[in-house]
Amino acid sequence: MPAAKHRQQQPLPSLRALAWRRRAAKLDYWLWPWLLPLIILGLWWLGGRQQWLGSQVLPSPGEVLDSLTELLASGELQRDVLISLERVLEGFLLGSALGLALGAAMGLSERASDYLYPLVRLIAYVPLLGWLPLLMLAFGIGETLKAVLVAQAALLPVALNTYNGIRAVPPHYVEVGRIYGFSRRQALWRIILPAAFPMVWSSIRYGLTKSWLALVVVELLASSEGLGFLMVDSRQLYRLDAMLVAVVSIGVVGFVLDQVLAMIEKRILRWRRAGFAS
Amino acid sequence: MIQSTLLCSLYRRLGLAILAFSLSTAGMPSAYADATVTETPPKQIRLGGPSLSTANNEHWGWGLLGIAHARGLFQEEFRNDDTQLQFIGLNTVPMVSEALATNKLDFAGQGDLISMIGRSAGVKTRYILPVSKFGNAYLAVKADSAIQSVTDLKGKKVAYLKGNYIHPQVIRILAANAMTEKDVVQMNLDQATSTAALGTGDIDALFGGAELLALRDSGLARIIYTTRGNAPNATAQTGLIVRDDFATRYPQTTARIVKVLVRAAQWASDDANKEQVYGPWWSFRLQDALKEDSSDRPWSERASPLFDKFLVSQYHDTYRLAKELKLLRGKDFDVDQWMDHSFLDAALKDLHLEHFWAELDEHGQPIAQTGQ
Amino acid sequence: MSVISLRKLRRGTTIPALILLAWWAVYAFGITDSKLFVPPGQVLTAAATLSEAGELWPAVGQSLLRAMGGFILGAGIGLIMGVLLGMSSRTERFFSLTLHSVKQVSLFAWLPLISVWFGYEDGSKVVFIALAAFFPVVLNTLEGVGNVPRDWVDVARVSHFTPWQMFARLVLPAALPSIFNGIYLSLVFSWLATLGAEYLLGSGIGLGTLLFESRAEFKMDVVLVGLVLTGFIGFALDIIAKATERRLLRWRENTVGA
Repeated sequence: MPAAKHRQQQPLPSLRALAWRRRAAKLDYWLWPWLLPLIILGLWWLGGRQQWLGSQVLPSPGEVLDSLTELLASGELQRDVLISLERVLEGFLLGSALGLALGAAMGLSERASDYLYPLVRLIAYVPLLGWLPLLMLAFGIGETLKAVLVAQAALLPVALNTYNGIRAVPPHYVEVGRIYGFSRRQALWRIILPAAFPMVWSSIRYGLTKSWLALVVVELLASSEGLGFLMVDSRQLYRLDAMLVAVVSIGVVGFVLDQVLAMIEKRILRWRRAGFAS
Repeated sequence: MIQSTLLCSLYRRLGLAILAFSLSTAGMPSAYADATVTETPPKQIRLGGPSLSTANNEHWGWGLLGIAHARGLFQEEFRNDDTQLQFIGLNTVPMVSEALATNKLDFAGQGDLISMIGRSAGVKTRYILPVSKFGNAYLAVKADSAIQSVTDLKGKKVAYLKGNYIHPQVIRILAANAMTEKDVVQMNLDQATSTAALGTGDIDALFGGAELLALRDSGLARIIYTTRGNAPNATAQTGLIVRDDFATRYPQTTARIVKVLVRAAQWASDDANKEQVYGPWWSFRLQDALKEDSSDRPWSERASPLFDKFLVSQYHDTYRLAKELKLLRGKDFDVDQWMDHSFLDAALKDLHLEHFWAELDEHGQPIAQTGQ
Repeated sequence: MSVISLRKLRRGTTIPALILLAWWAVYAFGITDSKLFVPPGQVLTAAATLSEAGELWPAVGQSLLRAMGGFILGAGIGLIMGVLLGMSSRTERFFSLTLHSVKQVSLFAWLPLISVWFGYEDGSKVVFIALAAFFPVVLNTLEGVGNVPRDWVDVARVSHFTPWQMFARLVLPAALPSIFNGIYLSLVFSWLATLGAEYLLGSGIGLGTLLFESRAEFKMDVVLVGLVLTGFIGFALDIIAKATERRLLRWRENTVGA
């Protein structure tokens, strides 16, 4: 920065140079993060051309692109994406709603937390996939299994964080509310829940990520449609190109889901700030 | 400089030696080189295939591979060599292709379709021996199901594994009923899961091998179709696949592996051993099912290691089917060139079994023994 | 023990006890004849049988070994990378886009690819577990290092700290809570990934393999044994992680305080 100031005091030609330099710096700033992906893509492309690994190990970008257009043209990819999306949203909504209710109950009532909290912890100690064999025996391999597993993936983090979030609300907030004569209900909606919101919301985002993860696993293991199935199907027919399409699609869907929640968060926060401002 | 010229001349001499050697053996089958020059087998030989039972690898290998393994024939052959034999059971079919592609296996037992898919995808392999022929397919439905025939499967949830030995069978069975895979909802489930799913009603029907007979015997399912005794062209063929560079580098070791399997075939073809043949396969609870399954033709036809008309035309047809259904994505390849008969020919000669097995025609019927 | 904690204990065990009681009652009164239903006692018997047959503990050991191998590899790389990226914003920008896009791919979608690239042996399971362990650590470390107050860094620059001093005396203590959070998550994910890897990359023994195969063979008792064990290991990891965290944070207070 000081160097730039120095230059500014020099005669005209370097003013233009400065503008260029600034532009270049800006360009550099925006292009810089793209460098690594471009290098990777370049190496991948070159490797495919030169047959470094052979397409039986890593298909070239061209092959993957061909496979993508083919899967899009046949409508297969869209169908799988939609099915996976539907499943994950269904399970996630169910799980996070139950998680919120459970967490709120435990956070607000000591009695409920005494009875339920140890049980929830106990369930949470077993990793998600530890439950899968049992759930498969209990529910078969149909849509119920998927819904239960995906819901469970969201339920536990949401319940535990809602509980912790409510517990972390400083007691004097509630005291202040009491002084103003808030009813229990008002205190809940206007003090406790807004204060616990950031923690709850971050667990909801985390819960969605986990739901998506759970769905991919269960689709890999037992399914006849969806993105996880697309992976298994292409793996069985040794189509690495289609498998890579599935991997990328799973990444894109995960990203979009997370971004949607981020946008909702922004809106809610704006509303919240506005509420305080008025 | 001196070093490099020395190296050069060394290479040249080596080249000449190799040339002379190959000239001297030119009259012999390429794979079975001069017996006086013995090759040292590699430190380890890795044989892979889908594992038969999930519980352990005691029962390893399909067809002749399983028989030879159970009878200890591989170990016997290599007992004086400083080599370690590894029998690797992989619990899913795609893992076998992947292991071949990444040089994690030297030999593999693979079904016809998947071995061709691998070859077409660029996994450099050779097909050197049929190890199992006429594997029957069965179609099972729940005991009280309304499904009566293959045509009733339209729009139903049907379990079978793609790429697996059963896959080309399903394609052919459906085709014989003027249907394609698109007419059914394929469920991608392993055998145990699909058995359970049939019970819970998550699937309507299930294609599989002889294990479905045991399911029928337990009262859980009804068999409504089988290839047994009526559709030899819709049966499953399995072959021994070797990585190309292994076979090139260790031709004698490869030949010895094939020889072991041919000896196993000879043993299995003997009617006196009929009862013991089932030993290596699956567990005891499946023995009855296997006996019933194999009752349609003599063991000498199932165990025959010949590249006869039946086998070759069957592979050509699978290739054609796979090409048509766009399951082969890579460059075309020549099935006849991929099939390398030389190791078998050498083994037959060595064991004096040239006329032990009868050739079958493209429909799986014995060819009248007149020409010989 | 105080009255309150006794009450908590009584209440906390009520529902699990009721579940166990109901389980036993279903058995005792013969309410179901489902083959999937096994009485509680049979689970214990199954555990004893498996343990005697030498199937249980080697499987648990193998799984733990894989989990730890993958965790150390993944968390180690994640930690180093997180610190390096965190201390140089230009390097961070260089990697950020790639890191954040790769992160989006749901963990288990990598499994089939890893199987193709690394084969069926234990190596590929460890690579997968390492991948699972890597992301929480690298992201949390980055965040922690990024949260080191600007003023501190300026002071350290003025005092001519070497990069090592900068790291050990400034960055590490300040970022520790966040790093620890990452390591804790990474442990949880390593254990989850171990089970997933064993389900999907079969071959070899392990607790996940045992669970999944017993399911295939309808051995509900063994499934339950495996379930209890995975839960117990999850519990143990939790305890160890929390204890370590307490120790490290105490150390940090001392450093920062001094």
